[in-house]
Amino acid sequence: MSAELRCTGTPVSWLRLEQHHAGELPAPERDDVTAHLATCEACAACFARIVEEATAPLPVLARPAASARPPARVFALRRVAAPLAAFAVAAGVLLALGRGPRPDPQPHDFPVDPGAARTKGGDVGFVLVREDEGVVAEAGGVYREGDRWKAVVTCPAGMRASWDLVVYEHGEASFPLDPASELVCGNDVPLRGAFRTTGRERMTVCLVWDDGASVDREALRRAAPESLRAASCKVLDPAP
Amino acid sequence: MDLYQRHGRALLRKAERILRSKDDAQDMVHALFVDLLQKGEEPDLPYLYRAITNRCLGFLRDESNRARLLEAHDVALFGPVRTRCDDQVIGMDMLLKLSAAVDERTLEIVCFRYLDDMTQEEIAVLLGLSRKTIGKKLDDVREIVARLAGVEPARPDEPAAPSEPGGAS
Repeated sequence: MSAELRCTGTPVSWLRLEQHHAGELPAPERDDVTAHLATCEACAACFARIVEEATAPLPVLARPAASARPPARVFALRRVAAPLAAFAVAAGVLLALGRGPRPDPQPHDFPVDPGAARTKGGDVGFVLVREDEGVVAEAGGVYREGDRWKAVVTCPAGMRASWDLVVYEHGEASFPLDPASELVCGNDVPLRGAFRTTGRERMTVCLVWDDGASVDREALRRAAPESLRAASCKVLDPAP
Repeated sequence: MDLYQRHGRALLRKAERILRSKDDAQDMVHALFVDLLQKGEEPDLPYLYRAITNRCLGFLRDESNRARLLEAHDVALFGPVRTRCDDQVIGMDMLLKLSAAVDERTLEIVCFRYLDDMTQEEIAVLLGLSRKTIGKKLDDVREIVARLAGVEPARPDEPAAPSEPGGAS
């Protein structure tokens, strides 16, 4: 644990501190909490953190990496392991939550690459989105050491398939993300997880899918990007 | 996006206290909000607290995540320790041990009590259980924690008074 501050009485729970900050506590409770914070260094430190972080940008809302274990064999890309600089809140890219049921949600948490590839799978395409010093930017065909990327897929609503992302470099394949089998197809649906680019070599990043069984990684290891049948690929070169 | 703007940071802090990993906490919170979007729901903060707790505990229980969480957790994300289980701080190591030793509901209570510093009364209201039930669960937890830590339980988790001062003193 990080600190040895002791509460002077009964700690104000984090939930109540959050509600206090949000102005959601009724007056009597609010007064109790205010009085306690004035005398308790430990609780005041917790509340100070809430206040301090209130103005920090929220990470851009994106689909998660439910399983964050690193892939067994990734040399070019790997999942983010170190704490990340937060994504900046970019106007227009945050997900809008509305009231009432939405039978076909189409999250728009990342900008769409107008040049997104839609190949070999009818209407399936994807873009790579790079976190760039707090600014969400589209993939421009080049990468820098340490860039963090997310893959954002567009596929026909109702399409059922298993998905994977494969990276080819020097003829070798690696898989920076976990396979996805429960993707809810629509416009701009992020694949779970993110990855970093490292190195100085050209790499080909392919979204692959299979509407039957799971994507066969062993077959992908033996294949070349240009021979993939259900795939959409992008070439990334190291920035000069 | 109102709900995410309003409660996103609170839930990130909450998830970070459990997982002690910014990346994983962010993933859990994002997963929650994506699901809320799909359901078209906008629940209040207490409900969201429960929802994110259960997601994080599910993640914690996953064998494939445990070693990495134990190795890479960031203690600074926890903040001041204000509530102990006897003299034991519920750190990542103990939380992982508990996750294998108690049921899901009890582990949820552990989080609310020792990570979120809730009183038994608050937990009872949040979970819709009696305070007596919460007290019994926490007594069980004390014994388990003591056993896992190799010490004797020292004293009740909280005084057996009929009511508490509501969290502030």
